[in-house]
Amino acid sequence: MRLFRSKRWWFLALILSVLIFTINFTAKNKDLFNRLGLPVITAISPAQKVLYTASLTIKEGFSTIPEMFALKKQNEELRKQVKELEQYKQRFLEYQRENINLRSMLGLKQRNFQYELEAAEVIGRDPGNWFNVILIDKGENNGIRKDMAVITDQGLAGYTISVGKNYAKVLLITDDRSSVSAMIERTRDNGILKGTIDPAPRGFVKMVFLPQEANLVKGDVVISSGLGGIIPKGIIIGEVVEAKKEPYDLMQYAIVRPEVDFQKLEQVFVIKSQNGNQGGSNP
Amino acid sequence: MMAYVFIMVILLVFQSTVMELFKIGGIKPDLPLVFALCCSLVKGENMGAFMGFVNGILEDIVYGRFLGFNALIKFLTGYIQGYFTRDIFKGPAIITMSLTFLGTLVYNIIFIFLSLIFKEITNPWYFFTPIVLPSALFNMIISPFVYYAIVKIERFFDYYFNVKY
Repeated sequence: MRLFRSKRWWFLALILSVLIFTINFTAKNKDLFNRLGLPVITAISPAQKVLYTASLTIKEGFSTIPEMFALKKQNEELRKQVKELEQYKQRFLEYQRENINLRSMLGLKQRNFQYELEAAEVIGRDPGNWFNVILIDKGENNGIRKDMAVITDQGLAGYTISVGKNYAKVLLITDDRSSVSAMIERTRDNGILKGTIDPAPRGFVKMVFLPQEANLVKGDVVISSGLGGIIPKGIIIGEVVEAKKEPYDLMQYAIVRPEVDFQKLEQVFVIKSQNGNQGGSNP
Repeated sequence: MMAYVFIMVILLVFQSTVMELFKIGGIKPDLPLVFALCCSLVKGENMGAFMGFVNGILEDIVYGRFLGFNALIKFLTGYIQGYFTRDIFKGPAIITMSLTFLGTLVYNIIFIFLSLIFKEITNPWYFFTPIVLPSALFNMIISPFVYYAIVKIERFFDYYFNVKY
């Protein structure tokens, strides 16, 4: 019996060490990991796609019933807003033309605000409660590579962390492990946007390394700063809801509410290139 | 055994899609984990560890950044759950619920411990109230149903094999 027990413990220890070895090995060999994952994900993705879409439809259905009463009012407001935005758009186009002219006069490089986008559907979410990773249905075959920004029509959602032939894993900006270089649009103060870290409540993100003298106001818009090379400059991330000075430190931080509704992610866009160059890391 | 693996695959697909509907305050019950925990209550630590392993490895493949992380955690959780509940009478639902609650806590503690080792998270204490407790409560609530389902499945298999062989 004693021998049996010790054998059992040896077996357990063996399994544990094999697993630890696997973690270290696959953390270093991403290709191998992707190759192993491909058949499994390919096999389950159709079912996931159907179920995910169905559950979102149900969710939408439930949330639209109370919304219906407010729709007429909202519609009028939106019409007004569209008119306003049309005017803004005209002015923006005017400024853009002027910008191009001035830049060419100064000999600066042209900046293109149009990105090459690839639309993708979300087909699944991290099953656990800890991390925020989603699976989208486009991959290498559609020109998507690792470290490309993923946006929605509302703003920045995250970036790709691993890519297979026809799927990609996206790390959302609310994940603890994500960090994005960002900027306060009004004051041009740079900082780093981290996922849910104390004391930001869940679903919010924290912007750190903001200079002590930065004058932050509630409602300030946060955009990506383009530093770091993954996320192009100028994508809306969210707005500041609280700014605080770090105790015993020369920095301050801000709690930022992301613009994207992460509970209702359905369709996303991957930014494949900007300024005519391919984004993402080299293969 | 294969039937259980098949059920686990279905549960995982279900978990990453439909379970989004049952999210309260950003937390959802972990159906595959509860299944693995109940498996180890019904069928012992070996089966529990195996089901935990299958659950974890699938999660790693589909959503993880490297292979073996969740597999290691859920394997250990399943094993511990089965090993320490060997001599407990598991009839009443309240016992299943309490054991699932404890099992989920064990899972989260191992998770935090290994996440710190592999540098996946930075501040462990921050997560305790917003994630660990609510998820343990959620899992506790759904556990009697899962437990009952497994007992039913077992009976079905017994019947099937009795009739056939």
